[in-house]
Amino acid sequence: MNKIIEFKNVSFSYSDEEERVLKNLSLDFYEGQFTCVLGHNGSGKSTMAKLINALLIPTEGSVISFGFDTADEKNETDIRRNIGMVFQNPDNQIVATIVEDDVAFGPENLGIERSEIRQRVDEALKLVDMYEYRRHEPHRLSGGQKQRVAIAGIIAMQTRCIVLDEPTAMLDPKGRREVMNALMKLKEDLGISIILVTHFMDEAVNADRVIVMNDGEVCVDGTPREVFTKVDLLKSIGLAVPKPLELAEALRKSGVDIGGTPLTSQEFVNEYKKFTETRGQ
Amino acid sequence: MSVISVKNLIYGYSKGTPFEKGALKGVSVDFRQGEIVALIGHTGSGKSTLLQHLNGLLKPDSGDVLFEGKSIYESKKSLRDCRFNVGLCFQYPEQQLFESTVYKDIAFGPTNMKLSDDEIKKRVYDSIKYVGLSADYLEKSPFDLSGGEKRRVAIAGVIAMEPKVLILDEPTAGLDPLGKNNLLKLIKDYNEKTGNTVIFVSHNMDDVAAVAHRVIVLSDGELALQGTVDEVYSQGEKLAGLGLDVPEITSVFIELKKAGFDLGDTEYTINGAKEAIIASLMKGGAV
Repeated sequence: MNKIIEFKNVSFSYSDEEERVLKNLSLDFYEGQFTCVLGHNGSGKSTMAKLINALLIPTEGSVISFGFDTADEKNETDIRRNIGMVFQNPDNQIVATIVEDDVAFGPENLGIERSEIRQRVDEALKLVDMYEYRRHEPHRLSGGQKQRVAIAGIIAMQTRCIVLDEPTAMLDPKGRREVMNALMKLKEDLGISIILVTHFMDEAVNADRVIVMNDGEVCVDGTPREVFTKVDLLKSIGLAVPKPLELAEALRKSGVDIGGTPLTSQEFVNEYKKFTETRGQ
Repeated sequence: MSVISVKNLIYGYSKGTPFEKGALKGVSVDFRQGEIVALIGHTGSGKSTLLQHLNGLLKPDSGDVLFEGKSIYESKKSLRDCRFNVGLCFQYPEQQLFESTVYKDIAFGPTNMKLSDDEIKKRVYDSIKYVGLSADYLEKSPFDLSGGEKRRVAIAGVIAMEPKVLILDEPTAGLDPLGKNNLLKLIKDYNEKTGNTVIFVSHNMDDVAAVAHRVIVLSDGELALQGTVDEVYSQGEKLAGLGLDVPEITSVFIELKKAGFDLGDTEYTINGAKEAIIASLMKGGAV
């Protein structure tokens, strides 16, 4: 797999007096993967996200994004052409008064030809399922719809990677599902690499890779299954695990080990079925 | 005894424009003394609109809001009484901090209530303790705090007014699991120690299950369901039909039932689910 982003011994602090938010972090991200970054408030996960596209520059060490060193100002445009970013608050990211103008804002700034922009905007809006809203005023949209418009604006720039910093934190369950579906589609259909910073464990269940940050360092890194089976470790750093797994774990501690690592309710039912069948024999 | 009752409340936004929208379509509900009530419903169901009527921020097109049996719209005095007794904490209250120190910010409400200096000081110290922060925070600037801390300071500012009814609009939104648990504990503590009513909005059904005594479900400006957590959550299919999530454990139980396992009532907590599964295995002689 192609390495797209490389953290080499990265440390970061917001000011000289303050403690380091990231501590000697070395980490790679790969092309086409859906990576989820978990961690409690203050674990350094948002700082890490901002270092990826040169919104922040490492205090020590270096970040290489798509072959460009983020510390070199000359590289800023090239980096941001490859990596787009979506933030938590949907209201802070919309710049235009009509949905399609907002999506066109990025490509316009890249100096792309008009007919090409038209085509890209339409395609991007269709992909996030917001095409029918193209002539709407953004402020009348729901949070989930606004976030999808923000995502469309990034796709229209044809970036190869999207970094999202808690994009669903302010959304209701329906809005969260809409955004998650859109992200899955970008990965599947266009092969765009996704780096999702989140608090919601259930959003991490379908990721290719989960990275758990704690106190400025990577605490666990692996597939969702590898990561979530470390129930006690995750709890000790203030994180939750998917409820079906927590239930299986609670049962195991009471002497009923149904086996497996069920991350979803369907998986739990499957494990339970297997368990009762073997018991029945 | 009901502290606040809402009678046949009707309210619409953008009246007389093409964007006119009925937000509340005849809602009647009672909030009783000393209970924790969770208000749930999808975005646009009218939750926030209802909350803003409870302390008279909005005036209904028709219908009435009674605080301790008296209409809050009756006179300026009754509205003022209601405002001091019903503390409303908006979504993302940390965005409303404005003073130079945490102390001054928390003292703002009590000062407006024209309490004595000693009483104000006592209330500031009590409420910062309530929200789980030490007195050292009082001299800090609210803008130097973390997001979770800011939120707790903002809530302390409302608690300092010692409202008989504390209303929180999505108090756990955007917090990490630890911050969320702390806040839920705060809601429970406030209710238990003061005996005051707490009403909160949440999208998270697990949060609701953890603290609420009673659940009210709004859908499209109308009351769709109400009852104890048990009563409401046992109707998992109906909740899903209203576009709401059911707690994850409930969906495990719904799936188990579909697969032919009869485990009795639909559980929604880890412990309840564990007990039910063990009991069913014992009955079957499998353990």
